[in-house]
Amino acid sequence: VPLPAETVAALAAAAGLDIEPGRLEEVGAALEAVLGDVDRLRELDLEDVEPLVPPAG
Amino acid sequence: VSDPADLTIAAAREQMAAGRLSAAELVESVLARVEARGGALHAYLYVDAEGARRQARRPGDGPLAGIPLCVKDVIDVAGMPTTAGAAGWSRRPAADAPVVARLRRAGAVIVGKGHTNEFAYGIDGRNPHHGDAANPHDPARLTGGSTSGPAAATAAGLALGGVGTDTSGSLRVPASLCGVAALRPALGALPRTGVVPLAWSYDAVGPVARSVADAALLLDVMRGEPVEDDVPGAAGRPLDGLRIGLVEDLVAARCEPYVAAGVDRALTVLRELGVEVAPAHFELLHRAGAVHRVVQMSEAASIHGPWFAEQAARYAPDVRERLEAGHLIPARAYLDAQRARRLVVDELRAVMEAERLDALAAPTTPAVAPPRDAEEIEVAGRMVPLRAALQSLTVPLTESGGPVLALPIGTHDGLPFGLQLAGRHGGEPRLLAIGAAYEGATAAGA
Repeated sequence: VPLPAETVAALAAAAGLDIEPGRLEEVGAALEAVLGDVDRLRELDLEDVEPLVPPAG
Repeated sequence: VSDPADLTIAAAREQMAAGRLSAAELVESVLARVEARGGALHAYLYVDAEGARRQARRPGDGPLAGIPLCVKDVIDVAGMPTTAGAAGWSRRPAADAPVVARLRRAGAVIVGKGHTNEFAYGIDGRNPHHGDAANPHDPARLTGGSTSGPAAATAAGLALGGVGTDTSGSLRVPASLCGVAALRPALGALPRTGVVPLAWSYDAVGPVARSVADAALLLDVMRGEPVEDDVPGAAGRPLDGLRIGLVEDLVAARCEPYVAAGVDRALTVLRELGVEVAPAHFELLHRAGAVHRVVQMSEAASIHGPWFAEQAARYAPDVRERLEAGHLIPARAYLDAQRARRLVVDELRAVMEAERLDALAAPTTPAVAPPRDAEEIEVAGRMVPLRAALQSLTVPLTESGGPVLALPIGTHDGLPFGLQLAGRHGGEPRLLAIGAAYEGATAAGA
């Protein structure tokens, strides 16, 4: 289900982004694609897995 | 080789040591090539001819004395603008990036700043603000990117080598399409200070060169210490005792048949040199693309945040769209992608350990350089969007953060393509030794 333009507009506003109404659909499609990636990654067993972000020091 | 601009760094050093060539002659030869082909190839965004001549008059006696290099325009060179290939964004650095400072201390002559995709956020060598780079083997073809300028310059004699960056394949893809060697060192092996970032989890600085031996020398200098050769097979064949895992999932159905055949031929040469080649299979490597996309888009959005808020309209449309979507990725999604990345990396390391592999092998690009106007390319009978296709084989081998060497292994219709060898952390010397042995064997007509 494509992200509705209103949802993208609300997310953009919360992020401080100014996206013209005519471009909400294309940005929504790009976001949709990447969130689909995330959903597929969450099919993995991530329990007890720490993110691969280098620790301080 | 009659024109000094066509020499490898090693050959130029030899000629200069023998008194048959001076640094000034070498630099003039390269500048003449820049004059003749620079406009058509668009390899440079900035050339400092007078500065190059000045440096060549006092080259010193370092290991790169008088060697002309092209530095990607996301890396600071004092006295030259850093534009990152952007429209309107630029800085005038007072100091060289540390990797550049080390090259200069070794006597290298910086000819200028090499072409790049905007903010290095592209894989094709296109740039709507400054014009596209053109492939020296066929100017109607793409160079690949984003280290488009240094790769094209090195291939065409507009420099004897170069320095670039690699986040998703930005050193390796243009190296493959332009027919030169490049090394993505392990994360942290070279300092990133003075380099415009794109994604902290992946950004690496590395050399581009006409030979693996030249790439090794550039790496030595940029590290500030020599890379020791640690190949065990001193007795017998040059690479006896080494094992390479062929990542079969990145060959079958992921590249054109002529590329797969080229990889097969290259592995035959390596076997003759003593390497044992085994298939390497992974359950999670196909997740690497998704991991990479989420992490890169999130980090790039964070890096570009302040400038983007002011100047979004000045970005190229495709870069702008990726940055906007990146701004909207939830923090939890980013962290879950980094958790999945740990699984991918753990598996990569575990398989290399269990199979006692010194390196993984895969093609660098699925095909030769596409036409400059291509939006998609054919890969094993399917049409694939250009960006996805060009980085499809480099992204999986980027995830571990270990070093990856790209070297040319063949041509198709006169256009080059290459092989990647991915090693363990600290495995640069072994990769470079394998690559140099391969080059030596093939140059001798193997």
